[in-house]
Amino acid sequence: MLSRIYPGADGLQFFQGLSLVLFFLVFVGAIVMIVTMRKGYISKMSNMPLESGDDQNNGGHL
Amino acid sequence: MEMEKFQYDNKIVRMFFWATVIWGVTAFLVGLTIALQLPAPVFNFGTSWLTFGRLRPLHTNAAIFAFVGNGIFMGYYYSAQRLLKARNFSDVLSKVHFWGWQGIIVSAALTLPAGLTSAKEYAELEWPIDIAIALIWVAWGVNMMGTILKRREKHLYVAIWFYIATFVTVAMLHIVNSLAIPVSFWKSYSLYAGVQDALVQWWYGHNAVAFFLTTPYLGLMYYFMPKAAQRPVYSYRLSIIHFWALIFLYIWAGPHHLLYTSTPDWAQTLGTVFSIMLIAPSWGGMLNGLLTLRGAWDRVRQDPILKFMVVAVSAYGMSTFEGPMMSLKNYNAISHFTDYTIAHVHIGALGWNGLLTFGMLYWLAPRLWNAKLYSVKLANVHFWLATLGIIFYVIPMYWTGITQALIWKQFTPEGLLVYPNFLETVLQLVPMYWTRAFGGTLYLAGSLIMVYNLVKTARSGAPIPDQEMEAAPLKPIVSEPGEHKHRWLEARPMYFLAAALVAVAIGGIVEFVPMFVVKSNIPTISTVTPYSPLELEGRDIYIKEGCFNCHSQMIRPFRSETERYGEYSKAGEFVYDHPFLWGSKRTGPDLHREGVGKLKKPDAWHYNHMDNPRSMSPGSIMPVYPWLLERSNDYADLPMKISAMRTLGVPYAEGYEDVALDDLKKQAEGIVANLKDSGIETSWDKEIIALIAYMQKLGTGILPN
Repeated sequence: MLSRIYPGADGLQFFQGLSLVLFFLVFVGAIVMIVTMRKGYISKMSNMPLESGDDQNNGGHL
Repeated sequence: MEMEKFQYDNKIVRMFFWATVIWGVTAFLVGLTIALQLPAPVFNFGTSWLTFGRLRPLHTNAAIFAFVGNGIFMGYYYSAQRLLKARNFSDVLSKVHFWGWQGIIVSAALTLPAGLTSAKEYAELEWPIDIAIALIWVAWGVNMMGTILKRREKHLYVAIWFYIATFVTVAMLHIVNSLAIPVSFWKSYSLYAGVQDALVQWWYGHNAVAFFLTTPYLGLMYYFMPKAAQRPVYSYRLSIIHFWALIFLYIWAGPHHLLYTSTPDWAQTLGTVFSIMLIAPSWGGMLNGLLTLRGAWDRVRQDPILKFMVVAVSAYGMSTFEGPMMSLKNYNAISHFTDYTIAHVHIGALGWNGLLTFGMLYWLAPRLWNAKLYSVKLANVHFWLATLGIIFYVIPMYWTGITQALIWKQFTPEGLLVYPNFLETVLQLVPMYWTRAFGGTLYLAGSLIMVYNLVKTARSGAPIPDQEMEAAPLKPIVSEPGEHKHRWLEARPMYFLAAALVAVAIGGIVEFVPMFVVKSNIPTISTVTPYSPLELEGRDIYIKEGCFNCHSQMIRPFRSETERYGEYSKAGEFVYDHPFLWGSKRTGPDLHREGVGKLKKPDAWHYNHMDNPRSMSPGSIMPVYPWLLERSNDYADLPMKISAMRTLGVPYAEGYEDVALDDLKKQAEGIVANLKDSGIETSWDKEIIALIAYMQKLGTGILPN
C-alpha cells in the first residue's frame, strides 16, 4: 500500500516492516504488563470508587 | 500519619446537573421538531430560522455538546474529586468552565438557526465561538490537571485516564479541524479544500464520537456503574488494555465515513481495517461494564438506575459492533447516505449516552440533596418510555435505510432504474418518518417525567454545597524498586497526558501527511475552474441554508448512481471547495451534477422550486424558501471573500477583488434575463440569483471548456 502513496520510492519496505513490528510489540508489551501486575494493587485500584465516606447519602438511593 | 481536612465541591456538580437536564430536554425537543418536519415540512412554520437545514445542526450540537457535554462535566466533577481525594484545583476555573460552556451553547442556539455555520458536521459553529470553545476547554483541562497534581491518592483510577484522554484529544481535534480564514465576524472558509477537508473533517467527526461521546462516558461508566452496583469493576486488567487499544485505534478510523467517495483508496482501507480492530477494545469495555454486575443481576430487576445502565452499556455494545460492520465497503454501499446511519447514531446517542446519563442523574440526585428519590415508580416508567422510544425510533429508521438503499439500486430487466425519480423513493418512507417521530415523542415524554421526579427529589432534601472529607497527604512521588510500569505511569499524570497524546496523534499524522504532501493523491483536472463571484456567493447561501444536511454532492462509482446522477465524482473536482460539501445523508437527491447532463434544469425551474418545491415536484418534502426570492444582498463582503480564497490557494488574479462585483453583476443580469424570458421579474441582487448560478455550476468541472 505504501508504494501507492509514495510511488517510485525505494527502501520504504523497511518502514512497512518496522511499523508492523512496532504495532505488534506495543500490544504484546501491554499484555505482558497487565499479566504481571500484582493482585493486591489490582484489588486496591478496582475498589477505589467504592471507598466509604465519599458520598453524602450512601445508605441507599431508593 | 496526619490527616488533612478538605471539602468536596458539590455545588458545581449540581450546576452541571441542572444544565444536563435542561439541555437534554431541549435537544430532544429540537430533535422531535425536525423529525416531524420530514413527513410534514409545515412544522417549520414557514420561517427561515426553523427550517430543517438550520435546525438539524442545532439538534446535533445540543445533543452532543449541551446534553452529553454537561453530562460529562457533571459526572467528572463528582467522580474526579472523590477519586483524587482533593477539591477541584480552582473554584474560579470551575465557574468559568460552567458559565463559559453555557454561553457557548446559547451562542450556538442563536447563530445556527440564523444560518451562521461553517458547514462542517458537529463543528458548525463559526470561528469566534470556536475560539471560545478552545479557551473554555483548556480552562477545564487546567482545572483537571491541577486537581490531579494536588491529589491525595497516588494512583489514578481508570476513569481519570479516560478524562485525560478526552481532554487532550478533543483539544487536538477541535483546533485542527476548525482552522479557517475569517472573512467577517460570522463568516470563515476552511483552511482545507475538497478531499483534504473531508479527511480532516471526518477524522474530527468520527473522533468527536470517540472522544466526546465514548471515552468520557466510559470513564463515567467505570465510576458510576460500580457505585450503583456496589461491586468493583470486573477486570482492572481489561480496563488497561481496553483503554490504550481504544484510544490508539479509534483515531485512525475516520475515513470509514468516506468509503466509495473520491478519497484515495488507501485511506478508505485504513479506515476499514482500524474500524474492524475497534470491535475488540469496544467490546472489552462493554463486557467489563456488564460483568461488573456479576452477582448483582437480581438487583437489576428492582433498581431503575441499574436498568438504565445495563441497557446503556448494551446499546454501546450494539453500536460498536454495528459501526465496524458499516465500515465494510459492501455493507457501507447499502447503509451510507441513508437513514440506516441515523438509526445507528441514535442507538449510541439515545441508548448509550442518554440512558447512562439518566442513570447518573437518578443516582446523583439523592446524594446531592441528601434525600430519597421522590418516586422509584416514575423512574421505572421513564425507563420503559425511553427504551420503547428508542425501539420505535430505530426500527423504522433501519427499515427506511435498507428500503432506500434497495430502491435506489433497483433496475428493470432492461437495465433501467425502476425508480428514476428520486422523489418516488422518498415518498415510500413517509409512514416510517411518522413512526420515528412517535418514538421520539415517547423518549421526550420519559425525560419530562424525569424532570418532575428530579425536581421533587431536590425539593424534598437540602443541598449541601461543601462535603467535609479528610485524607492523608500524598507523599512525594519516587520510584519504588520493582515498581510496575503502568503504576509508574499512573503516578505521573503529565507523562500520562503526553503518552495519551502520542497514542492519539499517530493515526492522524499517518493519514494527513501523505494526503497533504503527495500530489498524486488528488489528480488535478485542467477543466476545473474556481467559482465565479456570483457562484461563490450562491455557494455561501447553500451553506447558510444548510442544504448539505439533506443533499450530498458525492456520486459514488456505482451504476445505480451514475445512471441516476451522471459521471461519478472525482477528487480533482473539489480542489477549490473550502469547505467541502459532500454531505452525509440523502434525504433529497445528490446535487453534484445538478448543472450538467440530464439533471440540468432551466433557471426558472430553480426559481419556482425554491419558492415552493411542490410546484415543481408534487409531494416533495423539501421546505419552502420564499425568502430567497425576496432578500437582496449588497455583496459588501465579496472583496474579502475573494482575497481569503486567494490566500487559501484559489487562483484568483491579484486585484480581482476590486472588479469581482462587476463580474458578479454581469452574470446575475444574464440569469435575470433568462428568468424574464420565462415570465419572471426579479433583480440581480436577490439571493435566489446567486443560488441559481451555483446550482448551474455544479458538476461542470469535467466538461471541456
